[in-house]
Amino acid sequence: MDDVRALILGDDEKRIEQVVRRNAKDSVSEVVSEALIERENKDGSVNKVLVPLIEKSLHRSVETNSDKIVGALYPLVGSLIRKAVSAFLVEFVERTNTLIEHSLSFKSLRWRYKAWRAGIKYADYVASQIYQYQVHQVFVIHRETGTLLNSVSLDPEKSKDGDLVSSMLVAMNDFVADAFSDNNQADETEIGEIRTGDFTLLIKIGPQAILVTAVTGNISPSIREQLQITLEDFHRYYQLPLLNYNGDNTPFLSSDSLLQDCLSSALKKPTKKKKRFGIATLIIFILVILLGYLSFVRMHLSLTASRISQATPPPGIVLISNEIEQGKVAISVLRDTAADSLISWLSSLDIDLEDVRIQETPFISQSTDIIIRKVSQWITRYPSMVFTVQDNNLVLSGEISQPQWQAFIAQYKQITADVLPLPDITALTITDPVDIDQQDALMAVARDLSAKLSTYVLPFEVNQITLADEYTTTVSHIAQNINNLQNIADKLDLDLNIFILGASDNSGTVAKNEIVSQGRAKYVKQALADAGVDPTILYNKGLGELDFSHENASRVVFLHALLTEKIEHEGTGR
Amino acid sequence: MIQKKICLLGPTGVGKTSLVRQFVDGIFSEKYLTTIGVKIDKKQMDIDDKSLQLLIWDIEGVDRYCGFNPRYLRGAAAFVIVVDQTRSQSLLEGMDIFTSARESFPNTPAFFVVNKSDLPNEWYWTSEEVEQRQRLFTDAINTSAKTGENVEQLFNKIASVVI
Repeated sequence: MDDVRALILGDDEKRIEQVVRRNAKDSVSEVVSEALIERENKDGSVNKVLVPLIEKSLHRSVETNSDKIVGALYPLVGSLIRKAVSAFLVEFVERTNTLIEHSLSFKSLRWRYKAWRAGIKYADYVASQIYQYQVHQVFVIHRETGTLLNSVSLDPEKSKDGDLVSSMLVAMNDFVADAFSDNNQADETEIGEIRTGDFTLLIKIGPQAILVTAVTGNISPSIREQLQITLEDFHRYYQLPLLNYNGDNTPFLSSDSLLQDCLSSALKKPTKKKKRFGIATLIIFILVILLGYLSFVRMHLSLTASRISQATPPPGIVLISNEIEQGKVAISVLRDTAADSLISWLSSLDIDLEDVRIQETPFISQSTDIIIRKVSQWITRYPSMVFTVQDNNLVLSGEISQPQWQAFIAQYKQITADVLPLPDITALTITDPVDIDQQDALMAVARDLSAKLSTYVLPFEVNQITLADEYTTTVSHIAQNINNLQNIADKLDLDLNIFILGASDNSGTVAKNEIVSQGRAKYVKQALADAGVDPTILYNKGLGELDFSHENASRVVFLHALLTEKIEHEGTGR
Repeated sequence: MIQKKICLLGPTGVGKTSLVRQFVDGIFSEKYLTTIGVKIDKKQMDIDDKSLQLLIWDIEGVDRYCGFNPRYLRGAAAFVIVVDQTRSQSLLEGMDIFTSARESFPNTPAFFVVNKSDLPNEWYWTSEEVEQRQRLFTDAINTSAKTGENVEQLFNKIASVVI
């Protein structure tokens, strides 16, 4: 090749070379840019050559002109540092405020305990409890044109028109920058957050792109951090498409997965505590109502039982027991058939019969009232006889035949069972003439009464010549029987004498016992006279000591009736 | 789909918002509403088998009391200066806005629109004076937002330039 060149050019080669060298600067300067681009596009060799050279040059330049480079970078780096520190401080203050707000309460103690159990820091646990948020939509916007590069949404059907939202946000940012920034372009004011009723728009502005999220709830500082990381990643991954952006969004379609990272949420699962609380309250309420009702019923039954216990049962009814059993007052009574009904008694006490269960056992009452009631019912069979009651004694009047009288008196003894004395028949006229048989009948009654008087024994205490009060009734009965016997004796034309015999035990001297026995007989004589017995037929006698095996049986007064034919010298022998 | 930002500028009351409304929604209202700040609409078009979405920034009218904010033009693929042929002053104000915009964005395609062509021409500018100014723009057109005359054509021209 060199030989060919020497043959063609000869001596002119040097001259040509000088001419080309002289015009080389102009020729290369005209095509150098295009040549570099063409070569770079062809095999990328320009970069390979230039990058090491530039790095080397930069290194040397920083070493030799560090002051100038620091001066040039200072405004840019200073602004970035200020923003980073500001963001950190905002996050720090928010977290500190939250901790202070929740540090002096019962809830905080509970959270501390749970954080300790979970093995995590208290601050982290507080954050997990407080920050409840949901990121609904994420936009990434081309900063210069305001056009939407890409967006992702939690619910695509509810997503807003991203194109218009993006443009408006950029317009608002332009307005804020124009209205509030000073003339220094490097320190441009930017919108960081826009709050609406439900949503908060968090805005992170990068060199070429703006990342915007629509969030609801109480926003955690961590979400801002996530936004910053995503924005930085977006710039790193899509640096060239961002720089060469011409309105075509195709290169950014693959950024979905990157933006999805921002669609985070921290929502507490709804607890069923309130529901449980509601059920528990309902159960407690029902239990309280139930207990209240049972207490009321119990109290009502107690009052009913108390009223029954305090009331005096009518004659012929004896209350045995009165207890609350199985929701009712169980009453157990003894009741004579002649007595009032138990229901009428309870009704008179205003007691609801539904509250009472009655167990009634029949018995024969010894009550004077009941016996009188029985006699009064039975005596109606004898309409010719009139029946009255004076001081619990029966008084008969009117007329009755002798056979009817015999039947009446036998039945009377059966009904009264010796509780009542024989009736006063002074005003009663037995109409039939007294024949032998009738005299025998009267005699039989007289003998019965005499025998009965002999059965009366009035006991005395040691060395006492007066009767105890409890024997007053017995004395009355004796007096009634003596008077009845006197009436019969008069009809039979017989004399009646009553011997009152006093006795004593052998605890004292014989003389003393003589006196005591005489005193006892005398006392009983006076008592009978006081009870209405004619004193002229009463004779008292002290028997002195009676040597009975049971010494109590010795301290008594007993009676003996003596019926004798009337003597003509009546009244002289008494 | 390609997205392009288009800005409408001009004095107050020349019909910028009406032009956009006629183009986007196909309707016109006699009622006058002042735009505050910026109103943004979008409209999709098909140009040469390419799908294009215009993001139209209807910027509030500029007058002697309200300055022009050039930041709104940042990233715009084109901007439109709208004037009103019934008001002579609107041409001067429109040209002032154009000059300001050109300072910040010398290479952005610009369109000159004389609106309200349905009304009689009442400004005192001669055709030569108007044409002289029109030459500074990428293209110029007379429109009527009321009748819709040339509105579609205006945005078609813009679309064919920016795409």
